[in-house]
Amino acid sequence: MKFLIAEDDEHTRAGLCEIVENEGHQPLPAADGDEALAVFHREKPDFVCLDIMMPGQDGYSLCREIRRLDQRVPIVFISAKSEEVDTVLGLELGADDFIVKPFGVREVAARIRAITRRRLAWEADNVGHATQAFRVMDLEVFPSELRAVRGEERIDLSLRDVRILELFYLNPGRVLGRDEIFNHVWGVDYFPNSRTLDQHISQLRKRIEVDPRHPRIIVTVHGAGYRFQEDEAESSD
Amino acid sequence: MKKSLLCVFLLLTLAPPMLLCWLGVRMVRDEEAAFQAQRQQLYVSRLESLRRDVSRVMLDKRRILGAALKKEIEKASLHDVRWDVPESGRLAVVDARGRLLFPTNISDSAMVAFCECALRIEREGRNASTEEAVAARPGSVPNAVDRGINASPDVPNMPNAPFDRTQRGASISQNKQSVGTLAQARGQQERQPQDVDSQMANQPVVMQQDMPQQDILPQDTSQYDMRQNAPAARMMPSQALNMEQGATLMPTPVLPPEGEGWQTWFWGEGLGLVFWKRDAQGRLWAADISRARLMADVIAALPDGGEPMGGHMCLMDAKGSLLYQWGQVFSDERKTSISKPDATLPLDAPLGAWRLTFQSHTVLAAASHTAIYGVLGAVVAIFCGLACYFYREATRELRLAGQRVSFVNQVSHELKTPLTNIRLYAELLDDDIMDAGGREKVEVILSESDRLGRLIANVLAYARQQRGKLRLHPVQDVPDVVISRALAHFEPAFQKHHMPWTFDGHVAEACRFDPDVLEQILNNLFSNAVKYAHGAPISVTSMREGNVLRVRVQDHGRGIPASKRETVFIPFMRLDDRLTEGVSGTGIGLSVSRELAILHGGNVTIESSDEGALFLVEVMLS
Repeated sequence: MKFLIAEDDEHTRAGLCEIVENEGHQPLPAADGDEALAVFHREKPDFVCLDIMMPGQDGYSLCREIRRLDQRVPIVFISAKSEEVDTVLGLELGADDFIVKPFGVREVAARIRAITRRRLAWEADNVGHATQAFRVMDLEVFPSELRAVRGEERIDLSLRDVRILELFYLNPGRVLGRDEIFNHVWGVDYFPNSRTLDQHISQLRKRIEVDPRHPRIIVTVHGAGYRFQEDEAESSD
Repeated sequence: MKKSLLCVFLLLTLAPPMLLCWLGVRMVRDEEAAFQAQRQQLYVSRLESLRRDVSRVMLDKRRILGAALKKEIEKASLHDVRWDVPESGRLAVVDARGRLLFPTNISDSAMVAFCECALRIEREGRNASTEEAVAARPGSVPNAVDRGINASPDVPNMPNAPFDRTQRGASISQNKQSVGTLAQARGQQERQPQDVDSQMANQPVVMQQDMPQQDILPQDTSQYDMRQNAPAARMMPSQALNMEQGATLMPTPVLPPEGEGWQTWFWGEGLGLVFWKRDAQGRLWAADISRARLMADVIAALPDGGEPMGGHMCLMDAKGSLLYQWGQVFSDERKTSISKPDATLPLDAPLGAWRLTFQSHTVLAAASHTAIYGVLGAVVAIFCGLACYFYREATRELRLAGQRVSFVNQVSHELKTPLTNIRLYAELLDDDIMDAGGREKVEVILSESDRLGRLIANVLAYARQQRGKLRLHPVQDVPDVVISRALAHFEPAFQKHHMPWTFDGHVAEACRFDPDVLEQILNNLFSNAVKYAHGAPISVTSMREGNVLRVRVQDHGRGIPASKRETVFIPFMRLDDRLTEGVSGTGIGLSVSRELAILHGGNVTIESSDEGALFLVEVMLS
């Protein structure tokens, strides 16, 4: 999914873009309202994140314009929430939610995942692109819900997490190289640094592994890549 | 201010002075018009008075000349005529056939022109008589008199240039009915009204004359014809009778009746006057009025030097040239600025081509107008000033509020944005750092950013509270979850300061309340506990009693003296103001917490405790 990030502060914009990437989506950054509108016309994003106080068109007028063009695309305001009027006005203009500053990674990730779930559910209903649930060891993965369940434990997953798990599920016992994983999960046009995959696998293990220090689902194969073993396998981390 | 409200405001404040101005201007104009009318009436009456004076002069001249001509007419022969009347320089006599009888010897061009004038007078009078006689018959041509006869073809038709022939036209029509004797005619010659004023109302009198006697008629009527300008002959009584019977006869000449009158003519130096008199024999006696003498007599009748009314009086001729002036003389600059005199009045006939004008000097109404306009202007200025004042006062609060809002918005945005970045990047870094040392540092960044966030939240809440702008946003949430979240945020701080904490929650069901308000209150209490009760455990309990949520926060620090249990809620009042205390903070945390709780229908109070401080938070649930 493509996420439009309209934020004039470069650090906030870059941080949000990284969060979106980590969630497995494509960020479309814009530094001001006018650029954001141009990107919207050109890219037709699946999700729009608008700062309110921006140069050029402010967030409110941008929201009004986007709603005029697309009634369905989810819009979230980034707000300092200094006055109630900000919230009321934003919702009246057609925004779906507010992210209140200061916010953290988890808040943004949670919003992104909520949006993604709705989109996947819509695709399942309208496009027929239903992704079936699958099981990796004792973990039941529900792709369209971006969720995994182990017993009573409910684990929220990002789209990228789901894609990684799906890739491993479809290739049990086979070592998957970095390039293969990147191409499948990040896309062939993505040129990550050497640590991106390792960091992401590390984060994913923290969520799905019983003991992240001794992973059982995603096993590292030194010098080769990673592997999913359906049966018990020793961890090489 | 809304546009509609602004429009109404402007309407209410500007409409009265505008109406007042309109009424004032109208009143001033009406007053001015009345004043002008009165003044005009005054001027005109003055001019009429002067006109009467001039008319008296002309009447006197007519009397004098009439008498002088009568005297000459009564002489047996034209050779006995001696014309030496002071008012007149020349005399001419023309017979009924249009032949000049006197003077017999013409020496100068002026005399020639005068005689020509006399000939024209006679001819035109004769033609008029003939035409009227023809017109009296059935099927005749219209009366030539109506064409406006003038002695000189160069003279324009003056509206007030009387030609007595119109009167003679009337006399001719009367002559149709009465054919009398010359004696009777002569007896009626002197029928001149003596009253000047009655003459003012009428035109100058023309003698009503009957047809002359037959013995004066030329015997040979064949010498006369009806061609225009041909000598006319008197109509035979029998022919007149035939006319009355409506028979169609050959046209016969008519002898002009006796009469007298004035005739203007233009020659040389300008307007000239001729007094003429037609005798019983049909001869026309014409006396030229000396222009110089005329001017002198007219001017003598007019004031000299000053004018009782003030202003400037002029006597102007037909061409607009100044003949005479008196009164206040204008400077050349003033003359050029005058486009139209205040009053103008033409003289009576035969001087109808001349006119009297009056130009005043004074502008009497200006002073009063200035005063009125000044008052109106002051009233309008006062209204406008009041309108501006009220508008400014009405919008001042809006401006101040806007400034405050803008300040709060600006502060909020400028503080929260970098804080967001700090937190965001700390969390991103936390995901990347593997070693424990690095993660610990990241935790510090995160906890301090949280602390900064709480401070900012308190400051903004305080600012809003000062403006009365604190608002609740109640939603469905679980109070115990909110409390747990707040405790989780302080977990690092509690750990750092060796503060084991416990939470005994009994409100696990969803309720309607503002979770942000509850969390901010608890954050302030926990923050105070970290500052003042570190190194000791902290316990939190929650319970619901009816619609009231009660949360108790008990620390085991040094506590708060009973005497200061209300003081600590005062903004910027701290338990210890000593700088060496080493406690950071703004001093508004508890004040803000209480205000938020009160906003939520509850309160924050300090209960008695054996050890440490026991804060009770009460929040009304929907």
